[in-house]
Amino acid sequence: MNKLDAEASWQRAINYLLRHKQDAWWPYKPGQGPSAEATAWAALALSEPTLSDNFSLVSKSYDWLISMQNDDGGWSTSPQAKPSDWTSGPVFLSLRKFAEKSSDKSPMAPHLAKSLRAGKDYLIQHRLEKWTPLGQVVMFLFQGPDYSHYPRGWPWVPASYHWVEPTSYSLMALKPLRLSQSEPLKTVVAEADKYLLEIACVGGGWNYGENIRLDEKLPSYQLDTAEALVAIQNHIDNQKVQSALNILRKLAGISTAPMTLAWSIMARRIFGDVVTEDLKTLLDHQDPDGGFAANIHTTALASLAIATTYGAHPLKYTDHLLDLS
Amino acid sequence: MPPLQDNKHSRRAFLQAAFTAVATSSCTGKKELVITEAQKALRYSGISSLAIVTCKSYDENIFQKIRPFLPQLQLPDLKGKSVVIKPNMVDFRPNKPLTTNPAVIASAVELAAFLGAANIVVADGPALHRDTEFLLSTSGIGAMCKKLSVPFVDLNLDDLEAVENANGFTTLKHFFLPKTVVQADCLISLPKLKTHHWAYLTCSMKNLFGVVPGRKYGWPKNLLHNIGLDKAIVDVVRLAKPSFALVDAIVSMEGEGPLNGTAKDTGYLILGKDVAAVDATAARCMEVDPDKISYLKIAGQVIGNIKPDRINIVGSSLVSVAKSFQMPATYYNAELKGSENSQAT
Repeated sequence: MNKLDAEASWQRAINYLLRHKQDAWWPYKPGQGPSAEATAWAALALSEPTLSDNFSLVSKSYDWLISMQNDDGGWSTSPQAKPSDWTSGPVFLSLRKFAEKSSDKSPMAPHLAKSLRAGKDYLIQHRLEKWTPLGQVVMFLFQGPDYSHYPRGWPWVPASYHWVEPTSYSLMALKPLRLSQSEPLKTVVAEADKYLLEIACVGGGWNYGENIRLDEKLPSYQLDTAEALVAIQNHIDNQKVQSALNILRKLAGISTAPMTLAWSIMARRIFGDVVTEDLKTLLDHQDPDGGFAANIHTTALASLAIATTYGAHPLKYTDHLLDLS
Repeated sequence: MPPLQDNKHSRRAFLQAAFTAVATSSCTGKKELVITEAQKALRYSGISSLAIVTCKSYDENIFQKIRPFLPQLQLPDLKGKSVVIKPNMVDFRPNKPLTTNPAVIASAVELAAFLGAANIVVADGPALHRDTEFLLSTSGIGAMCKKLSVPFVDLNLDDLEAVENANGFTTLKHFFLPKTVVQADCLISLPKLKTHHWAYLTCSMKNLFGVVPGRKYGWPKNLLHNIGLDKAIVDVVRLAKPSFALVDAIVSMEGEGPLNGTAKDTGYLILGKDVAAVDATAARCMEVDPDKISYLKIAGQVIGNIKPDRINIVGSSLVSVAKSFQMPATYYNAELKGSENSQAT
């Protein structure tokens, strides 16, 4: 397998995404209705490595995503399935990437900036909340404003418990903002990082968000480990990060599930790994029609993963931070 | 609460008592459940017939073992109907019987076809893994579906329909359910018989948590625990409306189920229309009193029969298959359960 094979596979995946676009959005699976998440990842995949190739097509999708934004600033998995939910993280991430690329040479479009500010505020306001409203009053009396500072991430569904994946998506979305260098976002990010590091499995890596349950030390999952690693890639010297990376390395060539492989490749590429085995396995599991697992979301992730093996990495944190002020 | 006095100690005591009141008021209260006539209205009426079918190995012809008992069970006529077979695909751990065996899925497909089904799919929305392809591969269910040329539908990613939770027990006014389930003519619950650390038993009813879609409720579907696990089980069953259940108890799980228990050779299947009766009978086969299982107590009033005098068992006798199960630690000490707010499975 060589670079040409990877590029050919990438092109087939891109063509699959183009074929399955429905006006301005994508479904999770061909023939279904709209998915905000699938649209977000597919639009991002079509923006890599350069936006210009598919600019007008992708712009339409981002306009659709902006039009789907709820009044509270978040997004829901589909237009009919309100209220806002965890989908807000991946959609914000994709919109932010579009803003970075499209406003490289000219000011950010006002409607895009407005949408991103509202989305950022939604994410800040919808993390885990440990205390009831009355409990917050009482805790404030006991501890002052410090009561609200504890390791916490994001839930799947508002006003419920926090878990690894929605936290990972939200961190990937928010960290590359210039605002993350100052309050309040700086503390929001720090608390989420702390949550992820605390909830890492005893044996290394991450699963959905339980490390010990009733005295049982729970095993990690490859997919969740990869997603969490991308989210806290900036803690490269942390022993838990290194341990998780080693887990992904040991699993190279074992998993054949495309979504897991795609995330594993993207995570390992951030840390400079050569991912020949996983990439070969991923390419070997591409469907004849160019898709992966007959799933548009997975195909988008796969195409992003393939692109990281020879080009820029869209999820790698850099010094280039988007200014939303 | 202590009376207010003008000193620091009493003020602290007052605040601590107030905090305790706030903390306990924020917890899900364990009040007596009041069940209305409207909630009882759709309860299975009459005697529930079910079959216990001895089957020692997955290599046996499971459908042929079930077939002689079908006339006595009055399963629905599926002629021309669309059928969804819902197995348990929850997770993968090497050498642990977590999921419905592919051979039982094959027998369910054969049964559905025998009953006249025009269209059959296998479907699940696993609760912990976003990557369903991983579970399809590790469970062997993907390979079986391919072998049988039966499509698999990932219920976690399906299009959604809002289904009103009229007369529900939880606070949810509606659930978003997968279109595949809502529009199916027949839903077959195909659980793996296992102990469960929160519900004590996972069988045909708890199995249906897998129809609640992850694209809305997440991985895990923690909300179903937040709103009260036992009530959520009953609400989901009432909304999903399973037509019948076929329980994989050829190899079951005891101990710290549903993920960390140990395999137990039990050697049977249970087949029946009334999922409350199926689960109650499964509990008795485990030598567990169904009245000690909270969701079953509710189900006995609003879903179907759980009392033995209302359940007609054909096939093997209950006594002939019953084996004492080691239950999870939480069964013996409910305080270990802790808060439902952070529960995952």
